[in-house]
Amino acid sequence: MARIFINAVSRSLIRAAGSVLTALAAVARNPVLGRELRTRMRGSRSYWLLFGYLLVLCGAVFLIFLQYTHGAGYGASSARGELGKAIFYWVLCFQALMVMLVAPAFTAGAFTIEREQRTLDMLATTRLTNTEVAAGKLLAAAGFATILAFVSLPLAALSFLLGGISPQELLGAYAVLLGASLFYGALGLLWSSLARNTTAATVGAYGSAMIIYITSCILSLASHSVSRGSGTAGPFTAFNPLAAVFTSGTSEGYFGLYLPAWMVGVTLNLVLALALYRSAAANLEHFPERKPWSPLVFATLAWAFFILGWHGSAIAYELQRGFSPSAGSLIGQTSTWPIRTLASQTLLFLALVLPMLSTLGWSPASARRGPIAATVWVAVALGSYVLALAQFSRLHWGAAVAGMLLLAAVSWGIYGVCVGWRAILQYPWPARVAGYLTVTLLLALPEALGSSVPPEQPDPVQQLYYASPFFAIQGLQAAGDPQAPWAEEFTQRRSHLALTLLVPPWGITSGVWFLIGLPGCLMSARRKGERRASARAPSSTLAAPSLPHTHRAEAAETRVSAARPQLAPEPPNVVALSESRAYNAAETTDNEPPEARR
Amino acid sequence: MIEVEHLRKEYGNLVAVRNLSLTLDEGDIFGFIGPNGAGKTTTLKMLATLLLPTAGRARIGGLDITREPEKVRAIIGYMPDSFGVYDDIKVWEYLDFFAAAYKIPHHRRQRIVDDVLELTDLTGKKDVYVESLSRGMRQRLCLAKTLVHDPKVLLLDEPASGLDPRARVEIKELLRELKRMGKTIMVSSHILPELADLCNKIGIIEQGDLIVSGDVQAIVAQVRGGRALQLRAPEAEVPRVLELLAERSDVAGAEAAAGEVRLQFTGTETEPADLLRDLVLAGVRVQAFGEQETDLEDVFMKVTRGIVS
Repeated sequence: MARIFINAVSRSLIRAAGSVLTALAAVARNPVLGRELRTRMRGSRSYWLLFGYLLVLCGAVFLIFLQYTHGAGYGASSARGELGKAIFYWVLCFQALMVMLVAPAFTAGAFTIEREQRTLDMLATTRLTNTEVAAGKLLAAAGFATILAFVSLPLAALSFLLGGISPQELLGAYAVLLGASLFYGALGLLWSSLARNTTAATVGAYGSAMIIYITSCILSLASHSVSRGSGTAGPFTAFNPLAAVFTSGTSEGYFGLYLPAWMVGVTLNLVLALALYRSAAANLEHFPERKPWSPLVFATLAWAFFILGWHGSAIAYELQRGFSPSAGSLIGQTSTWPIRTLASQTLLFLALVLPMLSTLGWSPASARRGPIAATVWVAVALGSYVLALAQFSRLHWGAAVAGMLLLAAVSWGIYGVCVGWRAILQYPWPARVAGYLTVTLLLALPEALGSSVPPEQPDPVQQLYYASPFFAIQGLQAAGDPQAPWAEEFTQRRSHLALTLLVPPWGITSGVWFLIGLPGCLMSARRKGERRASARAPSSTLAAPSLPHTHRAEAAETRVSAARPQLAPEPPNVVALSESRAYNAAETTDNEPPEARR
Repeated sequence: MIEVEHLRKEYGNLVAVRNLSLTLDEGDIFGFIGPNGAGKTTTLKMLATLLLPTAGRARIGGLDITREPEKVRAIIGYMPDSFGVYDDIKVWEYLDFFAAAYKIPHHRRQRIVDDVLELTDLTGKKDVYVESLSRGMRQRLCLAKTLVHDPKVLLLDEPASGLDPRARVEIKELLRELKRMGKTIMVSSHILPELADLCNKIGIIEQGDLIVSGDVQAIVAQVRGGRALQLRAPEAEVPRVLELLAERSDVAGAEAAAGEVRLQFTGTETEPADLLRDLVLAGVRVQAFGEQETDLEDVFMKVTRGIVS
């Protein structure tokens, strides 16, 4: 029995190792990677770039060196340690900045340049898959970033000579550097797959890279400085390569597990890079219905990280509460009012993502894609909401499930509004804009109008409160936790309608949102039916008599002689022809705008 | 080899290709003719699995282009109408890259690259950078690239456009060579004479409609209502020739231009000889007599006029 088990394990291990090796070999043989590396290193350009890069780094190190050696007390080991640290920080900070500047630049043109020089079509008709092409481009860019990182190693190693820096810190910072180069490279790749030309792709890549870089840097550094005393940093402090220079030595706690910050940072960078790269590869797909679900995967991952990152420490605290009451919660808000916080955040996330998903594709071929994507998304969001909530509030399963039903109803409402706009406006982007505006109004207006009236005053405007899901969420929290500061106000406000109908407020709100979504969904369903019918029409009305395939030569003859009325232009045929044209024109007027720009 | 049924492509409200059907057998050379913007490129792109048809189906080698595009790609070679080349890459590397992209194992690539270089007469340029090649050579290089995986079907979009006459002749020679190799070729052009003597089938497309398709001779015969003959006689005797021709029942029409007479002959295969004999017996000094060269331009004008008016 044991032997069978060991055999099975060793066999599966060997198989796994084999598949890893195969994957590596496939990467190494990737023709796009080979060509990119070969052409990039050709000529003197790359060498000059490396030379300039090193020159700047050396200059900086030299200046630091001068500054420290001219200061007082040089020679003591502590001062040398200071110098070592300074060199390390300067070299790595400079490189961390370069990653953001260099990596998107290398990949932003990956597909747009091929499109501009008209080589993408030829590439697309080869047997290379989109993922292979995208992987080649990304790895080539990351390869060059690796070269940049490697040439700076001797300079960074100076800090070893002087002391003050541990090998772990250095390795961690470099690992994050490489992971970040993949992430920012993949970001550029995504923009390259979306944009029409290289300029737009570069602007988009740099814009988004800068926003992500700066926000993550500020958040990580702030979290790092706040937690310096407590010993446990906030989540993902080493995601940003610049912050990782300072945080790579610390550790972070997740679900009671303590990991080195740099390891978490590298992992997050790699996972996000993978998701972005898959999305980029998906955007290259010529056939919409063959498109993989990468955008959805990406959104789901973002959601998972949001839950884990934002609430990770609090969840860990909750998990630990049974064992060690001394562990402090970093994010008090979440654990104090979990239902309100989690439900509101999930709601905002749904409001952000659903209009985008529900207006995805609408050609007859891809008619089902948008709704399926939206459904899966809602299921994922709501599922993780319930799980997290059950974890927090332990006994309040009723409130968690009620919250889920409420959120599902609101999702239905948002979805209905958006597909309704899509049915009216036809084009996806106007529908998206209209959808977002309407959803924002529907979410914000009832709350704003209702709160303009004091709670004691009976006023019909107050009934608007029942349309606001945030109000219902507060109610859910109040039901589970009578100590909530808004519980009293909530009881006063709900007293009008809810008491007469004997329905809890969240029930009324769910009903309201169900009704909001209904017309749009009906409209869209009807429109889809029409569309299917019209999609079937042309092939049946214009179909020539079917010809037997066994006599192809004959068939060609008949086609030439029979199906070409204009060869002997008799009046009836011409009329028939122009009629069929008019029919086609009428039928195509309400058709989808070109989605494929290639 | 290629079966297209009711293919249709819309870009928004514009119908680029409307209800296109055709069948090609193995070894056919199909000339796809039409003015710019008629839908030739769209059709070829759909067949090359680069565009999704709005309706209809197409199969290449029995494989559906929308269901199994990967397999289709392995058996077709597509040459786009306008294409670029990569910078900083040598001719052999360019071909080696595409061979690798078609998953040809490393040890076989060297020979294949040499073979296609020889076929396209570029052997001397093997180690030259691609961007230094002339336009005609680039065109041949692109054709070489479409041949690295030995495709059964070639989809060539305007392979001779923008070339000088010499390069044009070279491309034509190359196509003839490929025809001898038994490839099925679909070649598009907006210039008619270019394809006249190369193809055994043609299709004329206008505004997305394939208005004529089939065997070249059959189409010419059908459009003309007979065979086109051509004879030359001394200038002075031309009016007499026309007189004689007008009396005959098997001549549908005749016109004279610069000592040449073109006529539509409705008789059978052997009867032109009778016509020649009669002319000679009537005392006409016939200097040349023969079948008029297939003039697709004429056919095109005749065929397309009908639909525009």
